[in-house]
Amino acid sequence: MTKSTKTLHGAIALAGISALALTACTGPSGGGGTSTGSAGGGAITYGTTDKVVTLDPAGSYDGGSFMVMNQIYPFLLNYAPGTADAAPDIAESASFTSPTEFTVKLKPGLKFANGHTLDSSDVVFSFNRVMSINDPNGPASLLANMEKIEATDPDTVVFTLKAGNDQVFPGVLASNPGPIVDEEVFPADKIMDDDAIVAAKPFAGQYTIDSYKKNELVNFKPNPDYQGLLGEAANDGATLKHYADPNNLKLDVQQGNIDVAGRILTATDVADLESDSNVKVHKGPGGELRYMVFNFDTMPFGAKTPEADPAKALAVRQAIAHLVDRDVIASQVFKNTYTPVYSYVPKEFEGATEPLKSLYGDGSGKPSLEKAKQVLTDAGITSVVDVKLQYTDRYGTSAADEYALVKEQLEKSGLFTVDLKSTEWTTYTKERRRCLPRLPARLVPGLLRRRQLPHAVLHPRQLPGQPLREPGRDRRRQQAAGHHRQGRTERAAWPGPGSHRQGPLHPAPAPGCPGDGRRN
Amino acid sequence: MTTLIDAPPGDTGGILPAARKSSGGGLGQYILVRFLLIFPTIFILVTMVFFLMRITGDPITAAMGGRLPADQLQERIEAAGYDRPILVQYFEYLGQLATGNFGRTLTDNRAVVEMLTTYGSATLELSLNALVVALLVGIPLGMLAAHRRDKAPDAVLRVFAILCYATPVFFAGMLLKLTFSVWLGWLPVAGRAKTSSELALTSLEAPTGIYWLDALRSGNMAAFADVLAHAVLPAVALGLLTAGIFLRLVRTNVIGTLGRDYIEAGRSRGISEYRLVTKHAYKPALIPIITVMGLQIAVMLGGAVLTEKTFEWKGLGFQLANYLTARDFVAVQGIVVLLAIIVALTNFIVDIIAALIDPRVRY
Amino acid sequence: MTAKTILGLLPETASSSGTVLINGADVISVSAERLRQIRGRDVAMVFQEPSTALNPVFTVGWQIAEGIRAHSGRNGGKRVSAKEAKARAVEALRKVGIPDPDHRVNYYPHHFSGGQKQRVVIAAALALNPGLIVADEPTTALDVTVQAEILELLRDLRDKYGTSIVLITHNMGVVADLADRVVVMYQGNVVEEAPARKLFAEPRQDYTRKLLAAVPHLGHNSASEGQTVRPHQDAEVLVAAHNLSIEYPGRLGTPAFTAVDRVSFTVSRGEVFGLVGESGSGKTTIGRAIAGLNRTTGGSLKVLGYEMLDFRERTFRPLRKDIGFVFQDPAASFNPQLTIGECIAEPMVIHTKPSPAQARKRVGELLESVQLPASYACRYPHELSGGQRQRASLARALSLNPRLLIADEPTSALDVSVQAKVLDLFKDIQQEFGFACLFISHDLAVVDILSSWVGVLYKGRLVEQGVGSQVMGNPRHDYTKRLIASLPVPDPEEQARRREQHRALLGI
Repeated sequence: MTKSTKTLHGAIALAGISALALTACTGPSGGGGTSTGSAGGGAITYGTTDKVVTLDPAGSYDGGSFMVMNQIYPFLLNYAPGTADAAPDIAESASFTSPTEFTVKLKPGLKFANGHTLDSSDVVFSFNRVMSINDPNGPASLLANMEKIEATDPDTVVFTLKAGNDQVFPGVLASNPGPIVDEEVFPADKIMDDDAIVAAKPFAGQYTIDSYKKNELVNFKPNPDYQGLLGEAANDGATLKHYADPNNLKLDVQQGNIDVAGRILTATDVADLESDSNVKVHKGPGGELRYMVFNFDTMPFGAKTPEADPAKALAVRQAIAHLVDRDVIASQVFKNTYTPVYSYVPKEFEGATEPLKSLYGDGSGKPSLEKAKQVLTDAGITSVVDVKLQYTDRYGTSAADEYALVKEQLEKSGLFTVDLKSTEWTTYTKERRRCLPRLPARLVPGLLRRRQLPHAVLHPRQLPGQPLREPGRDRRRQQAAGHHRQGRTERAAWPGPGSHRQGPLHPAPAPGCPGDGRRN
Repeated sequence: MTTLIDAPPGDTGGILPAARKSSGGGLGQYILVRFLLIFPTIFILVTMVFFLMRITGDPITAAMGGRLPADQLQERIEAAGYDRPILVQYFEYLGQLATGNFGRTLTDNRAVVEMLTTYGSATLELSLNALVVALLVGIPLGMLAAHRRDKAPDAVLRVFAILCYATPVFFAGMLLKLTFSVWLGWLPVAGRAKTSSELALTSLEAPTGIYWLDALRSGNMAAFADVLAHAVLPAVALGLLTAGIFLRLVRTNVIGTLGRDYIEAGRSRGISEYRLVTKHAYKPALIPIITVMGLQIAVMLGGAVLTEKTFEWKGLGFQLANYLTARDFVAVQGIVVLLAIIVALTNFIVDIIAALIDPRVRY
Repeated sequence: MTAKTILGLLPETASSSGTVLINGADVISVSAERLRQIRGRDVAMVFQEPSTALNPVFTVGWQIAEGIRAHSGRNGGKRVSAKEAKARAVEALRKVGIPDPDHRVNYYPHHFSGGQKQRVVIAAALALNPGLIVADEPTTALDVTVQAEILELLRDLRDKYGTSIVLITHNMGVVADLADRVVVMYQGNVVEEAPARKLFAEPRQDYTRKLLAAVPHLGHNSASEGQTVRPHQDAEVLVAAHNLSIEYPGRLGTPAFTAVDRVSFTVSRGEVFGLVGESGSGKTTIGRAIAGLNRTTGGSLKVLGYEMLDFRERTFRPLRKDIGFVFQDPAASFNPQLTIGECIAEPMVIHTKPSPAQARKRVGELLESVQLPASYACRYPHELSGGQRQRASLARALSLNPRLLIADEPTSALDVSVQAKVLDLFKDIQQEFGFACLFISHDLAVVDILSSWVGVLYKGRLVEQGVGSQVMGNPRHDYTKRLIASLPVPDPEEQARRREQHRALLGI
């Protein structure tokens, strides 16, 4: 349910939501608001445009794969519906026993659906496997802070961490590298085939997979042996149907061919569905932020430009922040499936404030041309500033409209000219990396810094239950986070989380991201 | 022609030697020669695909470059053997193909062969359905247009044919969907079957992957009806493209045939116009149509990419688009090679059918 | 056209009036359904081109049966089963002399030779025992020897079954051979109608007289009349073939086809060498080989001293201007986008590169020499009639004053009266220009008019050559005898005699 929608179809759908969607979607503020899970019975069909890369936890680090994994694999910690804190799932207890030691005690008598025993050895195997396979598509990077993992007895594992008191670590265990796999089934050194996985039934999550057609149809059956945090499945099973075209997804939910339509619907489709009496659109807060990022080296007056001047560069960034009209973008482009945000932390999160609201624009959230002019004049900038703005449509087809509007808003002021470019995703990824050479672990040598950023970095469609990604290692978030690491970026964070019931996260507030102190 | 000068003048009363030869083992030999020709065709196609795919570099870099640090990338390239001379890789690839090993996809780690069989059956089903539509629409309408040549029905049908093959497949698909699914609600929007039918059909023993066949085999009539309902729009969208071409083709050929002396001869014997069009002119006109049909299969497979996307028909074309986007060249190569083989085989089959219809083709 | 009207087979663009009565029914005005019933049952038709009058993808038996079944089961008629229809088809095939009809009824048309196909077409016409058969140029597409057989068959049908035949033909020999009564038509009007013998003996109308005079008549008007030795023997030999063989490579798995087999002859300066043969005899292949359009594969062929066995386009090119070529179909040999003048000037432009004024002058001269107004140079090929085009074609061939001219059936696409004029012109020009000529034709009478020295080709072999009048008058080889005996002469009395001889020759 991308950006905001959850749609229901009939009574069965309600039941279904509680089972599947709730399991899948833990959100900070009550998520989809579906607490009617007691309806019980029936099976639901959930449609999505997400894709599964692989069911092997060592080989995927994406929402589509994780969505399925979250149903079928057990986690040491997981998010209970409606909470933002990782709590023990198949673990009986999990806590720091010293600043660098995180000890987890498993519930007794755990079994996989194939009858194999699930004990601490499987847990150790699972985490070591992610690390040693270190697949480019895999989540090994999230375990960067893990030095080693040991089983002290069949029910106990101890994680030894490199840096102490890592408050993110419990969240890591509930995220992509977290699924516990059957060591009698999975090979230690390579990715396992999906069909082989399904055939071997190494499941110990809330559901098992009954039949599997990759990226077409996945049929889940409740796992009677599951005794974790999420509890017993409230339905008789669920079917996940993959779509390629969001339009088909929308039409099918409208016609009742599926019970729930999840990610990704376009803003227009959502607006359309809201007017359909057969479909109920659920909106909740989402964790997705859309923002622009400046490259401090190459932006106007940036460090590597001939006229480098940090004060002027700051003025440019501030002027842009003064000029962007979040309301207009939210309503025109996103049909209000996004809402303006004036913070690094969406306001749905506990304790979030809106510091940017008063800092920029007219003080009440609207843009201010006077202030923009003022800040530029004060910095001694008199000529029109040329800004190069680059975006990718990876994060939704609305990006083109969105940036066209940004361009218009900036140019209308007479203070800026905007050179707008769209880049295909693969190129985008490569170019972005070139611009960010100091990013650890994934940099491409031979740095070319010709490309200007502001990139538009959009905040990932969050997937249910992958709450705490270590930001710096999230491919899609990397840029923003990376900049933060270097303490060299700032964000004009605007239209924000439309709605998504989930993901406590976006990188900014995450501990270990020192960058957010550095704001304009 | 070794008859000597002094041979009696009776050759005009006997079967020509050359003709006699052709009526015997001609067909067998013809089929054999055609069959043997498949192999060089496939070989050339495979070679072209292989080298074209490699022009841009090795598949690992294409799929993962930019996502892996250089050393890890290099490690993978070496592990997969992509650092060796391209000719060595080429011969190894040929060897693998010969043993039916197409490798594994890079982006989602599947055996290419398994991927091909899974999605191939879906595309096969779609293409067969579309072919049926094309034939059912194109041939009778083409014959009608030919019969009513230059009259109103002909004019209407010609415009219809142009619309059919000038309309992009995806656009036709959207229009059909909008009309019959969204407005009228008669037919399902997308997909190959309802979730329940699909689950039932995929859990069968040894499914063929062709849903209507699986439904029939398992006697699941509800699923069969459901599969048919889902099949209609995609088949029509894709089939109309070819139907338009068939219509024109049948019209032109039947008109050409109707102008032949043997039709006049038939008419002079009192054979009715209807029978002349549907029987006497039809079969000779069919021969060039069948040949073109072979070529149309390739066009149809191309159209399947768009149709499959429009209708959520999870087939080869759909996958091809996905893998292309992801730059998974191992998968793309597998699909393209399979399509090439299908086209080569189809042309072979078409040649055989043409030979069976046309007694003169054999040599 | 008249024939088609009899069966109501006119295209929709044609309108007809008056009456055509068939067994009391007026074909012009009856209903379509009634017309359909008349067709095949009362009147049947035999077509000019047997290879196109049969549907290539159905067996001959099926096609004959279709006609039978089309007239069964309706209007009180007895329904005919498929089996019965087939039996009747076999019977019809037997009537027309197809050997082993029980078996061949299942053959496809391409299994039969041209003459046999025409028999099948006739069988299809006979299948319902119609009172009348309309035969539209039934022998025009056939070789002379086959033509004789088909005419024999038609005569048999008339005699044995009392079938009336409307025979439509341009060939006066065929008329003389078969017809009892003749109607002469000219531009849509009936010119003269008379019993055959009377018409040929004492034609009353001018047109008829001219027509009869224009028909080449074997033994009349021979170029070599009274000669006993070969003329031009002492002149320079321009073409010398010695054991010349030409093979066409076979397709995969089939042996090569020998089109010309060990042929020896010479053509001397100023001589017209007539090469006669039926279709497939290799005569055109020889002509093309001499012009350097076909490769020779054995023996020796010297053209203007050049050994064609060692043919290289580069070394042969200088000789091309000395060789002219006139094609059978003048319509096809002209580029429709060029004017006649441009076409004629083309060889000059290539070989001698004259100035435009020179070229124009030469084109004018050439056109004049072939008796065309010089103003025709500005016209396009389609604006000329067939005879005019063929003259222009001749002018083009002569444009470079060739020493050797190859004329491949130059008159066979022309009407009789036009043919006569072109032949006269050709003869005059040849005498005037004095070039050597290889004249290729299937028509003995035409060859005899032009050539004093004649060679007879049969299946790639030159079976006989000699002075024209001697070969025609006293053939020595069996094939030549048969060929000449088969050729109907435009004189019913004489043709009746010849027919008897022919029968004797064939031992019937």
